[in-house]
Order: sequence, then C-alpha cells, then structure tokens
Amino acid sequence: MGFRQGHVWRSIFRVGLPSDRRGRLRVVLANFFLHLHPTKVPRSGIRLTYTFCLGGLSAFLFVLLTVTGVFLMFYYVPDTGRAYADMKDIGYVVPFGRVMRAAHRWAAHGMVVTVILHMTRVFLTGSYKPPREFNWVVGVTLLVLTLLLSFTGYLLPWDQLAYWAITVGTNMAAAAPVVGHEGPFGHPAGARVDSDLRYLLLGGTTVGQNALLRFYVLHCVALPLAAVVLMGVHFWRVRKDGGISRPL
Amino acid sequence: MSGDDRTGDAGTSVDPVAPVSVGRRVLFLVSSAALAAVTGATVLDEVRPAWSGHWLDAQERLAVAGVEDAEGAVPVRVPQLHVPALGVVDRCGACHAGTDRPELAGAPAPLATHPGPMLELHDPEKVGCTPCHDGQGRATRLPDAHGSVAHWESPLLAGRLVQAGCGRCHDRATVARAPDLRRGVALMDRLACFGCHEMPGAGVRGRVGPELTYAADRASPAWLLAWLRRPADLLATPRMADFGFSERDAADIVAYLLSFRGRAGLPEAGGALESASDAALDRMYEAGGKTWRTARCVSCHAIAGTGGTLGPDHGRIGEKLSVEAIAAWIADPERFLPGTRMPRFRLPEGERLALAYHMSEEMKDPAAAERLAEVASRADSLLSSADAARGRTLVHSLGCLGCHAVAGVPDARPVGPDLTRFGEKEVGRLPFKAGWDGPRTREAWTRAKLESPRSGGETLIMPTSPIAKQDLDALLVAVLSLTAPAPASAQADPPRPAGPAYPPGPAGALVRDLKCLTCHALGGSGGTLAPDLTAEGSRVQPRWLFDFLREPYEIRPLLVERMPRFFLPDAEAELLTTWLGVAYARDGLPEVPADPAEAARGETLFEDLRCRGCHILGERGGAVGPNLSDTGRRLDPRWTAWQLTDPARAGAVEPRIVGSAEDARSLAAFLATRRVETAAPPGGPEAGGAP
Repeated sequence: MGFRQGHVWRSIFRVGLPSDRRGRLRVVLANFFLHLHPTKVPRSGIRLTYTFCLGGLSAFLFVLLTVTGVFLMFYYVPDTGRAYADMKDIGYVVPFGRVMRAAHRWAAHGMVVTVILHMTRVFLTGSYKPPREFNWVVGVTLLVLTLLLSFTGYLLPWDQLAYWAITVGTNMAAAAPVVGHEGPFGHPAGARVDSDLRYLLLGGTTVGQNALLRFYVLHCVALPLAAVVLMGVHFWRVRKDGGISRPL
Repeated sequence: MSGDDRTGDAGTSVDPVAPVSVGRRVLFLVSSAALAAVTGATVLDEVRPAWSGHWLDAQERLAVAGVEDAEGAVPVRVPQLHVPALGVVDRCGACHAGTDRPELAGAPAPLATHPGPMLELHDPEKVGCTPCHDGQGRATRLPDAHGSVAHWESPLLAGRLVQAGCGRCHDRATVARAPDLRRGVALMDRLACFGCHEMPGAGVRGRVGPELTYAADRASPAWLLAWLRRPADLLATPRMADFGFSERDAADIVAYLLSFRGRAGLPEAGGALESASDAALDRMYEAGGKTWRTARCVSCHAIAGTGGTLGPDHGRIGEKLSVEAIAAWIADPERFLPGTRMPRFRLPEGERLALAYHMSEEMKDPAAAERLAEVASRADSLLSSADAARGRTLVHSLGCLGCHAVAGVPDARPVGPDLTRFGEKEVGRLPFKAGWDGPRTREAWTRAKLESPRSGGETLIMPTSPIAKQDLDALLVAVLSLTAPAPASAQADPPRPAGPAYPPGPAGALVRDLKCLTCHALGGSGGTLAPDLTAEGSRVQPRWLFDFLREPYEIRPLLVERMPRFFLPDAEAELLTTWLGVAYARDGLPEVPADPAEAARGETLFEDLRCRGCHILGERGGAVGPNLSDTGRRLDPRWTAWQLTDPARAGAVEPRIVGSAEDARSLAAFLATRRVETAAPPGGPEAGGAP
C-alpha cells in the first residue's frame, strides 16, 4: 500500500488509487494513456452486438501492423535489386519472419474489412448524425488512408503481382480527370506524361526504383503518421461528441 | 440515452457485474487454447523447422558410420552458398545435408552425396546449386524449392533436364557430361530448327537443303510431288520435315518449281547413256561400284540406315536424281548447295558418270517404283490445274527459304519465333491451347509442341519430323538449354566461332574445296570428328601424309566416318603436305634418338603398360585407339614422345599412363621402328607413289 502512496507511483500516475467515482474520473483524466478511455462506460456501451467492437478492432489491427511492420523494416531494403530477395529471406531464414510477415499481411487485409464494416455500422446506427458529423468526415479520411496504406504496401514484395497491380493502379491515376494525362480534361489542364498524378506517384512513367522508394516511404512514414494524427482526432471526438453512440 | 444508464450514473454504488454465461466461458477457453496452440506451433516451427530433421538424420548416420563428434561435423543450420558474381543465394543444403560428405554416399535422398565427380569439377562455393539445377535457391521448404511456383520462371530442372543447365557455361555441342544435351543439340542441327528459328546453333548454320532453283531440273515432277506429300514415304530418315501438304499444295509448289526448269543446264536425262551398249553399261556399273567403295562415300552417306550421317541417306537416291543430275552434283556440289559439307571429288568425267550410273541403278527401292509411277500418271493432270503463284506464296510463307535458296530471292527473316532465350521465356506467354489440362510448365508445353507441333491451333505452321521418344527427351533438353549465358567469368569454354575460318591462299582454297573443316579442326575452328590438324606438320611424316592424302587407309578400326579418297592429283597432295608441314607445326618437341637399346626398352614398356588393350600392333590389339603397326612411317617420334607424357594436351582421349619423359622417349623410339613391311600400305591395293 505504501508503494502506491509513495513518490515513484505518484511521479508516474500523478494521483493515488481512486476510492470513489470522482477519484476514478481523475485517474482517467490525469493519465495520458488512459485519457482516451471514457471515464465511465454505460452498460449498453459494452453490448457486443451494437458496435461489434469494429472501431476498436481497427485500432488494434493498426497497432499490430505497426509492431510487425517495424519488425519487417529491420530486414527489408527498398531496392529493386534485393527487395524480392529480402521478402523471400524474411519468409525462409529470418527468425519468426514468416509469422511476422503473415501477421502483417493478414492484419492489413483484416483492417480494410473492419474499417469498412465499422463505417457500415456507423451508418446503419445513424451515428454519423450531429453532433458526430465531423467525426464521420475524419473517419472517411481514415478509410482512404487505410486503403492507401494497403495500396502502397502492395508494391513492396516486388513480385509479379505487386508490379502489375501497381502498374494498373497507377495507370488509373493517369486516367483520372484533370490530374491524369490520359484522363478527361487532363491535357487542357496541363497534365502531361511527365507531369501528372501517375508521374508524381511513381517518380517516373513506369514502376521502377523511384516508385518502390516512394511507396516505401509513404507506406512506412507518411501515411502511418497521418493515420495516427487523424486517429487521435477521431478518438478524441468520440469522447467529445458524447462517447460511443448507444442504442436509444 | 436510456433510462437505465441515467439511473446507473446517478447511483452511488457500482452495479454488480452480471454473471457470464457458460457458453461464453467455453468460447473464451476454446479460443484461448487455439491461440496458444497456434503460438506454440509457430515457436516450434522456428526451433525445429521441417528441414532440421534431415540434419538430425545426417548426424545419426555419421555417428553410425563412426564419425567422431557427428553433431559438431554437421551442426543443424542452413548452409547458405553465396556467390555474388552469379547472384546466387542457395540454401539447398537445408535439406541436402550430405552433398559433400562421402560418409553419406549410400544415404537416401536428400542426404546422399552429389552423384558423379560434379562437385570436384564445380566447386559449390564458387558455383552454388541453382546456376545448374535452377529451382528456388533461397527457399527452405520442399514445395517452394522444387515445385512449380507461380511466376517462378526457372523451376527445378528435374532428372535428365538438368543437362539444360550445362549449356550456360559450357559449349552445348561438346560438353562432356551432358550426353542428352549434346545429342539434342546435334538433333536440332539435323532437324534444321535454325531454318525457321533464330537460335545459337551448334556450328552448322545456313542453308542445308539444295537450291530450289534447280530442283525441277534434277528430280522428276512425280518424285517432287510424292516427296512434298510425305518425305518419309521416300526416305526412312528424311532431313526435311513433313509439312502436311495436301495434294493441291504439293502440285502448286511443284508448278512453281517447274517455272525454273532449264536453269541448271543439265544434259537431257538419259542422253549420256543412250548410245552405250549393255556390256558398256555393265562395265560402268562395276566401275562405279568400285569408285563408291574406294572414295568411301559410305563414311557420310548411309545406305538404308547403314553408314555415316554427315550427308543424307542415299539408299534411294536413284529414285530422285537422274544419272546426269548425280554426275553434275559430284562434279560441283557447291553449285547446287552453297556451303555444303560435300567435298569436290577429283574424279574424271567418265568415272563420275560411272559412279552416277551405279548409284542410280543400285540405290532405289523396287517396291516404290509402282507408287512413283502411279503419282507420275496423275502428275500431268494435277500440274495442269496447279497455281504456281500460290506455290510461290507457300514456299515463301512456310519457311522453305530457311533451308533452301531460290535464285533471285534474298534471305528472308526466319518465319518462326526467336528461340535464343526460349529456356527462360515466361510460362505465362506460352500459348497453351484451349482446354489444356496438364501442368502449365515450360517443360510440358515444349514437350507437347515437339510431339505434335500443330495441335495448338489452325494457324500453326511448324512441320513435323518423326522423333523417337529418347530423341524427344534430348531435344527437350536442348531447347530448354537456350538461355542467356552465365556471366563471362563463369564461362568454361571459349566461344565457338560462327563458322569455319579458312586460311588464305591456294592451300586455303583447297581446304575449302575438300571440306576438310567438316571433320578436322585447323587453328581453332572446324569439326571434331577427325584429328585436329593444327600441329599436323609436327605429328606425321611428310612422305606418309602425301601418300595418305592420295590413298587414305583405315587407322582407327571402329570409326564409321573415314577419311574419303578425294582422288587428289599429286600437285594438290604435295601442296597440302608442304603447307601443313610449314604452317602447322609445333616447337619444343623432345629429341628422340634412334637407339636400338632405347627401342628395346620401349618394347618392354609397350607390353608392360598394356598399350595393346586399345591399340593394334601387328596382329593383335584393341580397336579403340589408332592402329600402331605403321607408326614408323606415319608419326614423327618427337611428337609421339611429347604426346605420351600428357595425351590430353594433344587432344587425345588416351589416359595418362606413361610416367616419365624417359619412358615416353623409349616408347616413341620403339614405335618409330614399327613399319608394315609390304610394298603397299595397309588398306589400299595400289601402292602409294613417290612424290
């Protein structure tokens, strides 16, 4: 007991163990890690069949993807000469590499599924309505980020599937209106083969070393950072907008 | 917000937690157990991967074999071969734990040692595994390493197919330990695949069929019609493939060929023999037969399957060519087939005609005459309605020009796909026919294509050749071996020159005329059938060479391909002898004094070393090596002594038996005393004249 009242405990947790409702509220509010958590959870809020934990699952998968992704980054070099071989080596000789890569891949597929189901659930329960309309917009942006993370990660194994999928995908960018040189109004808008969206994505006109590096940096740095920031906003707004929506 | 929650919020005590149902507890327990099991299996797979069992097995076997510290000798690990120069990272040793442990020679796969002396010849540290075997070297799981993995474009070359890998660093036509590859490459040459496909050839390139311009002058329309319909009807082993021509196609093509009639300027068929009496014809028949034998035509031309394979089978040449056409061909083969391997024999016109008459009478199948006569009876009506323009289109579009020249028509591009890199062509680009139910591999597609070239669709034009099963395997090896060569640092053989390099001057012209380089090599280019002549001036004695050029005889009893008799005039034989003696000699040969004591010692050595096992000397001996009975006249003893100390450096297959230079000198001195003491050299009835 003395430890929990002592200097070390208080230096970390700032407050002592709560003994009443107000104390519990202080613990949550005063702690960086706990403050994402609601200070109180209504009983109907833990009913599985209302939310199906889909938002939480998405967040959990994101954490899993971050952890396994960092592991994979230790063994993977985004160089066209060795990316494929590195991917094979992770599967064959890196300790626990195969399970790490498999977890990363399945979690990525799973996250796309849970995010879409989460959005469906939010829509069906009408949880996008005021005062939650801004959080819906943030959520849609997170969905796009999730898809972009999947798309950029797809190129990294540098195999036939990756190469041609990204070739097709970025050709779609070339055919996009205005920003693609093959798209409607692309030419009048000034998009050329070497100055359109595809060129920006690939760092060239074909999938090559530049594209691999760009996709790697986007996949490992830029997109996750943006997702983390927006997820922070998303969770914060869940609290500010009255907690998770509940059955009426 | 529900009323319940408000009540809960407002209350001062925490609601008791509702009891969890049994179903949920079970669900929690089961899913936890499943998670634990998966985690455990993952950890176990890391600690004891599937391949590690082979290493434990190897350790056990080594311990049984009496190797101390077997665990230290083969610690369980993935032995990775990394060869940066070849871009190789091979982990085949993960399962093949005993490839370099002789103690495991008898162990079952995958522990067994590598068969043959391959690992001595190819240091695994410098070569790896996949440069020869293909497959996925980085993989440590059997299906990934050996199996057919999607988009893995170089799957394991299983069984005899591994020989396809030899061609990446070795000369495909001569690589010693790849008999199927050698045979397949030779077969590709014989089938003239290069007529329609771009590919690195085994040596013989270019036009291999006679000029079509003269075809109608040389062969009858009936023969041409029958030949085009089915070459196999007229020759057991035709070199020309079966194009599946219909009767109309054949008639159209023959009509096109007939439009060139008269170009060859041959005398009227039968004209030369019209005035000859029966007795004269009999004499011609006899004389021609003798010429056929003394010229050793059978060295290159088989008769109904018996004989050499350098030239076409002549068992039925009499059905094809008139006497005049045969005689004209012998007089100047280059005229009808530029670049032919057939030498120009120096026969006088009368002997040429006699030989042609003999061939025309002797070499035909009486049973076929009826069939040819039947075709001949219909030829006129067939040809009267034939469309020569369509025939021309067929000849031009089906690849005939890949093997046959037509006067005035420039060399066309090959009509078939480029096969230079066929062995690494993406499997996804191979046109598997609709309803293909076999494995979608390069090997399976190629086998089907070779077995039945046109089964893949109506538009395919590749002709068929009858190929035996084992030949098909060899051909498959050769086709799959067509890949990019390994980096220059790994190349084992110097690149083969594109064609024979003829020396300049009159001697060179003679070498070209006699087609010496079809069988002999000279200065690094030429054939491998007969001895390399690059040091012939030091090897043999000039007098013997002169005699041999005029009257060749049998030196190696086992060979089918023998030196032909060209009927060389003295001047030409002397030119060749002098030229080879001056230009193709070797310096630094040891002196061999003619010392009877030395020769006697050599005789003892000859018997002690069992030379007679391979060589005939006098009456007895083996037939593998050359007959040594006449070495005193044939070989220069200095050469003999030099070659015996290290036969391989003279290009001989003879094992290195002679231990020292002294022994070699003694043997050379002994062999220099061996002569056939008759007026005539062996093998020839007429004595060789003095130069």
